Amino acid sequence: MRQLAIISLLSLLTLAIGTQALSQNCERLQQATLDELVTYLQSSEGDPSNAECVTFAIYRLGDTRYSPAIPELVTLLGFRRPLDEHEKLGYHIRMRDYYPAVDALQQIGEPASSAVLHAITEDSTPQVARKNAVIVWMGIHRNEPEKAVLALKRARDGATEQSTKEHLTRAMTQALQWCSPQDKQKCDLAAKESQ
Amino acid sequence: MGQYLDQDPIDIILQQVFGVTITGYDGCYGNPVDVTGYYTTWGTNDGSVATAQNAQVTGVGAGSTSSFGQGSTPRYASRGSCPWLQRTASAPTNVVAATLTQQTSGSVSSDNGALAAYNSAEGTTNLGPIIGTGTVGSGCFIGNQVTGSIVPAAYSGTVIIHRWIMNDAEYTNSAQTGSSSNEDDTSSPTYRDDNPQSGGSAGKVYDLDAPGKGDIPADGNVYRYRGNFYAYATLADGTRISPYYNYFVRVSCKNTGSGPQFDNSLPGDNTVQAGTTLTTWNFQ
Repeated sequence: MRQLAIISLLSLLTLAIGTQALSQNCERLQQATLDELVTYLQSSEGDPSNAECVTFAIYRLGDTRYSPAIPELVTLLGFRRPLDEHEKLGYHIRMRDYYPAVDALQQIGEPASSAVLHAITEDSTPQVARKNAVIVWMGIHRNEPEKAVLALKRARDGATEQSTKEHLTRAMTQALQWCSPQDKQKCDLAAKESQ
Repeated sequence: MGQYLDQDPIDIILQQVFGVTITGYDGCYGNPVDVTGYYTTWGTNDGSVATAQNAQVTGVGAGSTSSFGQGSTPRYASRGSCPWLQRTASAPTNVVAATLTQQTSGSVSSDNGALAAYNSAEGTTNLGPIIGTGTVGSGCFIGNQVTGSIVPAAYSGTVIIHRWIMNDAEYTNSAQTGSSSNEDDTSSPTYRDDNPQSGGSAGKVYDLDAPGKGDIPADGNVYRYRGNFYAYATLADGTRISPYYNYFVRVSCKNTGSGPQFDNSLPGDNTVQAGTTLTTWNFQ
């Protein structure tokens, strides 16, 4: 038993040392497996001092559409990436969000839907993360935005907790802003669908 | 049980030589077996799109056809011997290519799935010189849309438009404040539409960009950006399927107290065009 405990402690120490070493040099993350990237994100918890490396890991998991990373990416919906050299001077050259998990979850797409909806409705979700969750929700369903609005409405109508209803009402208001002009009418109709 | 081409559909690009395999099932246990070696005759239905021989399909011209292999394969029986069976295995074949064009005025295409995201970022769906009021901040931007037109138009795989900065420079009045070169500038998925069939596109993918300066201080200075870019389209695996498209962006912006406005004191400023530009503050 004691031997097992020592082995477990050593494993944890190895992981901790490994994580620290990785965070000191993002280049090492480039060799990491996708599972290791998820572990890295879990251990760094969006630590601002590792922001470059956290950003790298999030983008990589999104680019590879690695669905086992969904829970971790959802917890990082409020993580804001560091500015690039252009942005530090106030220039916006590259079109990308400030929140990399928004991009990553959209790339993963439909498999992330239920976790994202959960983030929208959970009381414990921070405000920025909740707003970003709605952006992801509409991004995942951007080819049928009216259905995305309708799903929020039905979730709200079916919710029993008052706070959940309020979260979903605000989410619907925000979601309607993500309907393009030609989809606006369909989205409005979906939002007004009678029960 | 039938025998089939393992690659179905076969998506290749011009001049690509792509190896294919055929799987059958053994008659005793039903286990899958590689039977490619039994197939001796190969071809396609349209030699102007693709050719096939010796289990290799070659892309000749953009379009769709069907590739097939034919051969005699053994037929297993519990007793005695049976004649070999003449079989054909085929698969639809797409030779995928894309042509890039750029839209620099008017509005974002209505079938562009990234339209809403662009509208949120810039506060408008207009292209060309725009005063952005969206999430990227209030400032001067040059909105542009790159469209990838895919052949065959029915192709439904992912096609990504990439963008790189060849070189660029930033200035306050005539003093350089920054520069970069050879930098991947590909838009995040939020601002791309990689699905050639989404929104009724029928073979079009899109990328949106709006380089410029946000949050212009009301100091009367002119903030300038000059950049050379190139764009190209790839399949999901990174295979390039379009020629490179070179273009440049010039923008100059100031705020004298009434909000950001374009500074047009230099002819040819505040534009996006095909080709390249000098990245000096005054193009000289």
